[in-house]
Amino acid sequence: MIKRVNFQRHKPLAFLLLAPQMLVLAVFVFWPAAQALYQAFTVTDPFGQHSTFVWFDNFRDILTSPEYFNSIYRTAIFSTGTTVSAVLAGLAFAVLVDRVVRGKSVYRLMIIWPYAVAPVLAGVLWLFLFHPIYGAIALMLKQGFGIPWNPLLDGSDAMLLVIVAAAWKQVSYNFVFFLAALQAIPRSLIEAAAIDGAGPIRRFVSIVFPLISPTTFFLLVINVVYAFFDTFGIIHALTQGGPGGATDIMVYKVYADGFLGLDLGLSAAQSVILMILVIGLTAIQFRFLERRVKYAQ
Amino acid sequence: MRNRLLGAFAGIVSAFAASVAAAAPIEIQFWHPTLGPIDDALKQQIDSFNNGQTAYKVVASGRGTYDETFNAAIAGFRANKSPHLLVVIGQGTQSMLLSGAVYPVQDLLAAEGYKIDWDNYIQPVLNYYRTKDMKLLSLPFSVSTPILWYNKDGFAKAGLTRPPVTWDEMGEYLTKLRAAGFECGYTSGWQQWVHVDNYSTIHDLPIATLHNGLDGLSAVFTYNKTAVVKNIARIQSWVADGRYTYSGRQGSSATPAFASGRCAMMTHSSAVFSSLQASAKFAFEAAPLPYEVGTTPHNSLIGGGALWVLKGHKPEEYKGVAAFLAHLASPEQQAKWHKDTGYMPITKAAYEKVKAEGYYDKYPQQEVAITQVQRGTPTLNTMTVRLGNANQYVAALEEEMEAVWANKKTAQQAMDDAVRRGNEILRRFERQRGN
Repeated sequence: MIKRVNFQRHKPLAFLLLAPQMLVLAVFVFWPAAQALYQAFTVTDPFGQHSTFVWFDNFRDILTSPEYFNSIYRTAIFSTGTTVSAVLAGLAFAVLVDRVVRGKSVYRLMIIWPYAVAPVLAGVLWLFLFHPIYGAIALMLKQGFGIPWNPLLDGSDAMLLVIVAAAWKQVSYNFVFFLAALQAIPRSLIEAAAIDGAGPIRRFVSIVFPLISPTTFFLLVINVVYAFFDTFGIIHALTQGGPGGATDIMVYKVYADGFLGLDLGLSAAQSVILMILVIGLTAIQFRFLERRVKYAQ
Repeated sequence: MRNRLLGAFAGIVSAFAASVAAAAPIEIQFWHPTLGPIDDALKQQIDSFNNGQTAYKVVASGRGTYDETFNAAIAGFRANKSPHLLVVIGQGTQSMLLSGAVYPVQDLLAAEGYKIDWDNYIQPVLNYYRTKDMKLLSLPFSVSTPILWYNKDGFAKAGLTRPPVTWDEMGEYLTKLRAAGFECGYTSGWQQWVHVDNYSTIHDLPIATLHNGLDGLSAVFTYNKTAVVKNIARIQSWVADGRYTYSGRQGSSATPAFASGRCAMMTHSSAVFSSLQASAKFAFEAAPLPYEVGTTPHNSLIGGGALWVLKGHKPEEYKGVAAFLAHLASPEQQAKWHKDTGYMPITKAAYEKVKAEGYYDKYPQQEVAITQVQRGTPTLNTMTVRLGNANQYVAALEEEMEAVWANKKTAQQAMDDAVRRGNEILRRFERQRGN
């Protein structure tokens, strides 16, 4: 049974214990979020000399721009691609490492490694390998396999590149969680199924996957949030939203308009839209996906 | 007991007296972007100032990229902790001018009693950072202009003996270089700076109304109605037949494309000289940017960082700031900076000094930028581009150019779209400043 602590009779103590955490959240999360919300309704210069309250003008400017709708569309492709490939690759590696007998820790270390690389650095690394003029892998693709690889001008190539680069960063994280979940499955269950004549695929589908479903669900939520919020560094280093807006995802536009363009109102309005979108998406995930998750055996 | 106290007191008094005699120098905070290999040259400039006198000490602090440095300065300004000196990229001039945080360099030097003959400066370099009544706002610092770099060994292989002069000739050269085995004929760094801004200034064409924004914030872009469109269309055709290879935005990707020997020609900042010297394994030369047949070329447009003096500091500190700026502008420092970094000298005296040393006989590449910015007489079209929110409108223009290279739009469609998006961005800049 799960152990529970009951604070019913000591409510003040419960709040007292929560207070430090709430204070940290208030200062570093709620206050900035409230400021962003306010900024979304103002037009202001970066030095803070002029600030005008403009109601919904920033939202109107964004939602009437064809480039923004392109950005929403690109975000959908990018987030789906990144989440699905990062979760699947993490799962695949975990299942394989779980079965490895010799050198397990070496594999484990090698797969966790990319997580330690800073996003911008990862971006630069990928650019140098895949740059169509001097990238080693790009030249191999072109000369070895005759693939006309050019992420600088071909939007699909660019999208593929940023998805792979963003997913590559996240595979390590997913791998660690999946491996831990796999190792928590009692061997007796799997052995019993094997004795009953179930093959490895059947065992995975009927026993292993349902048992790791809470982890899978958790990772799905985390990876969607990662793809939506945490990937502007990779985009900045690799494509800067190009070519022609093909990888101009929403969070990159927030970053570019806010930190590079210094149009704080426009950037804040976009981040409010993005926040609403991700909250909605997470709510949907909890509403419809979580039903299939089995938390207790 | 009493003796000991007295002794202690005497000690304190003498220590105090000593500290007054060797008064701690007044510190001057100087925020700049980290420029990689050039940081060494900057350190030497600052050391020579700090070691040459005892009253002031310049404390330099590298703050990352130009954008990061600017963000740090804004945060500093809002918290009342601005540095005295700040390096800002030229495109940020309009933002700085309207920030309310600036003490114009020309006013500062005049107030501190420096009698400077601004005519002794290279005019097109100063012009970029001047107001319309010719007051200098900031001291040019890391300044360059795009020029044409070419692979001399490659030219010899293709039977070419001199650089191309006009864009038509450039096209013919590229065909020959391709036939001689170059997969990539020509690539460019900072393509918007080269193909739109500099193409416009060299041909005396307006980029935007109101003299490229110099006369007011309500300027609108007009480059979709000039020969720029023809220029973009020509490069589109060169992309299609392989003569031009797009190597990415900004400047960092074009340099290795040329230095690795894959591209025979490159238009890029004159300041890539030192990095080409370090990485190219072939003889390379430089030439002025080509122009259209039948036109007389005007000066090219410069770009790069300038030193801004910020408001809100003490009078005695501004004395030190002025002394430091005067030190940087001295012919010795300018000449050394130019040779060390590949950036342009800002005074005629520094240029003459370097020339007299015979430096350009050995490195003729370094002189090209200086002669190129002095071609023709400057006009109000060629003086500067004084438009706000440059990071955003440049990004929009880069996107549209990519759409042209990928054959998704015609040159005219893309330039129309870039102008529409750019104008929306300029109008937001106006609103941000309370208009």
